Amino acid sequence: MIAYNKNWLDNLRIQNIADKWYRKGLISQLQAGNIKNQFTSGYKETNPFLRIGLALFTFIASVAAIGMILLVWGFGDSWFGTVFVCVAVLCWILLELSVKDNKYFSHGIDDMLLYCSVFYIVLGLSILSWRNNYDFNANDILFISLVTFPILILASVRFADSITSVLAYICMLLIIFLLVEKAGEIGKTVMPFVMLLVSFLVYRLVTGIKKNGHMYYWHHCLAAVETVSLITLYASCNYFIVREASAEFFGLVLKPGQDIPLALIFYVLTLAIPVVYIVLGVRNKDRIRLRIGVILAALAVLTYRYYYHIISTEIALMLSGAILVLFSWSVIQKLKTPWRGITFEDTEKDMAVAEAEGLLIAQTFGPQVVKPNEIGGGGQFGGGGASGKF
Amino acid sequence: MDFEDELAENLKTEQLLSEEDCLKIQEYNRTKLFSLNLELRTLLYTGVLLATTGLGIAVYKNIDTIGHDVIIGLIAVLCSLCFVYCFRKRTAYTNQMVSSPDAFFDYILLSGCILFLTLEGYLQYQHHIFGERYGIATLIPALLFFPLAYLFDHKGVLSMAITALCAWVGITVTPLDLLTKNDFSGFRFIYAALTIGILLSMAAFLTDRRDIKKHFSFTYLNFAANMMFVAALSGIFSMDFSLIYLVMLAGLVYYFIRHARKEKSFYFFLIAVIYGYIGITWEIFYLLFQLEMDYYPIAFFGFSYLIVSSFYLIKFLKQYKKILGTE
Repeated sequence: MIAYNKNWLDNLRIQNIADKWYRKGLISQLQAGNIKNQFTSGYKETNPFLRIGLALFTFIASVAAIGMILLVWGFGDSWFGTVFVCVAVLCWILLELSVKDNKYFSHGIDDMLLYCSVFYIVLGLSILSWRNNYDFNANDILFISLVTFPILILASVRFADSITSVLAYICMLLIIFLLVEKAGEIGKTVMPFVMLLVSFLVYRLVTGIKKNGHMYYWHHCLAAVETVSLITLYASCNYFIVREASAEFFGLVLKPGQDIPLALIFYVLTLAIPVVYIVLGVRNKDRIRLRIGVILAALAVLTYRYYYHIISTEIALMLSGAILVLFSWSVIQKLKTPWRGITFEDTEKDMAVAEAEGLLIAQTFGPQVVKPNEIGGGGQFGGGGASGKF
Repeated sequence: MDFEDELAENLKTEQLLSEEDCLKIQEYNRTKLFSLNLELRTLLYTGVLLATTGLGIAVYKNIDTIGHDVIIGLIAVLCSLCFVYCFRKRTAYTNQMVSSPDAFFDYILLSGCILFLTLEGYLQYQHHIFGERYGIATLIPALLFFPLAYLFDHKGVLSMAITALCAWVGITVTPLDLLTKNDFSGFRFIYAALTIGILLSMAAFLTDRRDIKKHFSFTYLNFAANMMFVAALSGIFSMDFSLIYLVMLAGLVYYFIRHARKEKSFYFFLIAVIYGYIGITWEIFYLLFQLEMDYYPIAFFGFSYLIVSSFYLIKFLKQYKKILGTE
């Protein structure tokens, strides 16, 4: 399923864990070095700046290639769509080849080829379907989404890319939205609940798969989709979004004093869902849910304020600021002694510092590990085949 | 069973970990605490930000009843409180890197510096204390922030000091404004940027050589590199085929690639390559359009150049280990 060498990915993961143990002071540098020598991987963490540079020039090359093809074939608009689709396929083939032959994993080139491929195919299809009737309507969008969705799923599964995974999820929501909209009046009424249900089901599905250890390669994709599904779950029943979307997409017109259908349910859900997220986040020690919950709670307050101006802006700001300061200060004081396994102490500090330094000081070559028994094993980054693990 | 625990067990059977270490790792994973440090601190600062914004709006609306001098006094008091806190909490100065004494120190120091800028701006706006001599107004923050940056060992304050210094020379160098607020066509910008750039690279050099706060050298050199490259590029963009600026760009690229090799810094390597590429590409297209040919050959050469150059640059970048000598 996955295009990359699983064994190498496994070993890379083990190397990272060994690094973490070393940073936490659980094992010695020598032991970390030994583990890394035992579990060699052709892949390694790519320097982020290298990744940016390679991606940039890959992108320039692909755009210039399209320009060149159009130039050679002539700029007639009957070609445009076809050329884009062809280049998309070409990018994909190049990607498959480079992943197969080389030691590329999140290397900049492979990332960019994947995004180019997906982007060009959507662009090509859009141009093709637009040409058919000179009127870009909902059916065209539905057609493009229906074609794009399996491509995005394939891209996510084969190349374990979190951005395409999130795009696939959004694409799916778009398809469902367009299909439900076709149901007319009933569709418009049930739309928020359909979206809520779909988001919830995807969330359950994704968190379920995440628990499976064999799905580790896609862990970051699943986490990304989990995050977005929590957000869309809230968005589907936030009062502001439901009201404004009804006006925008379904032409709902409200007279003064009127309110949207089932307004009370949405008012309650607007605040209830963030609270549920926060409670679940704290109870399960789940950072994703906790953070989203806090941000969404702020949006909930803004939603209420948008429709009901009870107090002036500056008073509201000062009041909310004061409440936040008091709240976080008292929680910090309380958590200075750990409570139910939660602490204020910065347990990730060494890691965060390392990351910040990587970005700021741009020296991301990492600590040099002493390699005591580097004998004919090809060293830390040496290719495969030498360590007996293959 | 958690993957890490399982891994520890396996490594134990492979003799890579001792029984003791394995237990230590499993014990660590079992008792690991869930830290809300970042979350709570973010909440706290958001709260402070909201409250102060609210206060600011309230003051703005009631300026007639409160009066400017009261507010100036208030800002001055707050600003000095911040600095007093920093002076009392600070660790003794050394030439080496010093980590901040507590979680809030950095933010209080930064707030102090920002309040100082606000105070100065307010005084100038309300009382014209500097009159028309804007130079002094921008020099004072620079003169204050440089010592503060060294005293409290803070890169953020150092960046503010450098920005103030650049403002004094007459250009804005805050990252977002660099490309929009400056008049690139003028020689004045190019010379000012070059002067500052050379000064800052000398500062970076001395920082390294004398071993005084070595970790500051990246901040200096980063500002210096970007200013000088932008100056050279703006020279290339605004003048007709300008050999001087092209030579200058080539020199800069050479210098920073050499520096990158010495420091094993991929960042400087990449920016040197990208700035150099932009300059050369610009010149090539400029010359192409000078030829006054039909669009077809121009487009053909242009696209060919882009494809071939990106291909070779990708190959070149992939050699970075050899170039930087990290392998």
